[in-house]
Amino acid sequence: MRPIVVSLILAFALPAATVHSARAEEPGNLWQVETSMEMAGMKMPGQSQQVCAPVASEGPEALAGGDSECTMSNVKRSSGKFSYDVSCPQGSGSGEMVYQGKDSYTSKMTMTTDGQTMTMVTRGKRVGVCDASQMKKRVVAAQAQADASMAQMCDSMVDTLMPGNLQTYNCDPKYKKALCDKFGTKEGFGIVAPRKPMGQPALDSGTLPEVAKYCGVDANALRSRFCTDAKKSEDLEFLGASCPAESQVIAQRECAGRSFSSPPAPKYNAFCGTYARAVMQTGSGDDAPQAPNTPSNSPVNPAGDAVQEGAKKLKGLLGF
Amino acid sequence: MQGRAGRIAAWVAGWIAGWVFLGVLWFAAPARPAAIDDPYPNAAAAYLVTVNGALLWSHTPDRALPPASLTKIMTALLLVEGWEPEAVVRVSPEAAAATGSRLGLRAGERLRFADAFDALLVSSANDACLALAEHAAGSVARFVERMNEKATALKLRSSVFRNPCGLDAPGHVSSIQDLLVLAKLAMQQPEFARAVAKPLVEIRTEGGRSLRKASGNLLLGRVPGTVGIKSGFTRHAGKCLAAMVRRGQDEVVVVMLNAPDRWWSASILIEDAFAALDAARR
Repeated sequence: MRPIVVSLILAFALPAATVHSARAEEPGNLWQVETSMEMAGMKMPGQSQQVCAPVASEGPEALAGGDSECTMSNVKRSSGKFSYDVSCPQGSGSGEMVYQGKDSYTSKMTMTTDGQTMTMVTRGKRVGVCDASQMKKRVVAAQAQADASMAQMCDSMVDTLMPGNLQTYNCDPKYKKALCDKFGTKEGFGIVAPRKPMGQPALDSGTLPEVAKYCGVDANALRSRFCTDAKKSEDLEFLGASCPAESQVIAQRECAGRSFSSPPAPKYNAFCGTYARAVMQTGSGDDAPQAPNTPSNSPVNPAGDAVQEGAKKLKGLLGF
Repeated sequence: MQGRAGRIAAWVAGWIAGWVFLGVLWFAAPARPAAIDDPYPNAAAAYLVTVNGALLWSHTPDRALPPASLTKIMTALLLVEGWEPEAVVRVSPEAAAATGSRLGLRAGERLRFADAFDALLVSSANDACLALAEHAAGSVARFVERMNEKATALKLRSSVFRNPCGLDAPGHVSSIQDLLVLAKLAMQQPEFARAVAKPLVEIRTEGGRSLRKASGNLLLGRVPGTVGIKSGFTRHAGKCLAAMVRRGQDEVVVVMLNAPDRWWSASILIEDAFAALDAARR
């Protein structure tokens, strides 16, 4: 996705600008550029930025980055109007760019990738003149910022164990290793194992089968190892969240099989509360949500989104 | 040079992609509004939870369902209106033959009105229920008429009563919304509140026979702060419950109809409601 978006930005958000921007004292036009994007039926918030473009360049053809994986073809121009096709490894599309005189332009690019259509619309208006060579400094600063931003994004994906997004952002291979190392720990497995598919490829890449596949490990073997250990150490929190088979056995023995007047042993209070909540939420203990972090001696443990969302609602209702 | 431009663009792209990702997360959240109002859709055919009078969670609140012995809340309300604790209630053959939960009264036995009232609410005794209805209105049919008149007066939109005790009968229905109205009204009556707080009922008939039965409300003494009020069960209604819990100045009310695991479910709803209240205050 990133190369495509980069190409889109190259072609439209920075028109006739950055590719020639580092020449010394080069005269330039200052453009106010408004960009909006729509993908999968969602409109992204618009961006507005000023861009200093060398006077000499114009149109999308000169803008395709030399290091971009995308190529432009079938470029046609006629009296201030450009049309072209664009092809990237992840998808292809077409675009049109129209200059309204020398002081404004509009452009629209549509591309299909991963079965989804992405549309980017840009409007540019010349608002003055500038020294295009000043862009060089901005480029260097923005480059550092871009690197830091990407690194931060890749780090966060390791933290959240979402490999689909590592691929999306073309993160360095070291991040894959970090992610898989983390997944191979009990903590990492405990984050991934309870996830359910949500029908969104980016999110579903973080489910157990997908992460295991990405890392080339056997999910069942990993589960067996961690769940056996958790059973031995009676780590009920981990069992409740990540080990459905073991949880069912314990739940039948200690929770569901007991009457309310014969409550479970105190050490099972939190586990049984979590199990009962899962039954109330989904109709099945198989979908037991993540167990509370802190065990309690109360019959059940308040936990999860219900309480937090309920708190927000009560604030409104009771005027706290 | 173009590579540098690409990196600038990458930063912008990252910004956009970040929004894309957030957007995906947001839209991927399943049934968010429903989950806020109804986080436990499988807890019961219908349930509601109020906190200090405010409706926190509910599931099909106006659905008309058989209310089983929660019917007796209405019965008790009418009996409180004609409160005569020392009056003597005579047990008819029909009352003595009542099915379901019973105290074990015999035809011809006589007992204090207040004792029968306790048996009605504490052990959900259907024999006491019929005896009291006959005593209060002259006949069960007349008492049921009064129940429905009261329902109309209280603007209970989903409630129709066919008997005073909650036995399954075609068209004998109520909703958790209506039952909440009845429960709150009933708990304001000292005679009612006193009875439903009792863990057991012990009475002596005029003939000197001692009868003793534990409360059907298993939350009493097990969930801290439980002050009442009523459970019920029939084959068609399933397991039903209305419960009130007070902790300090705070009050949680739970009403459930056809809740397969009513005690565990109710205790979770109660604890989560208080936890939500605590969190709201922080």
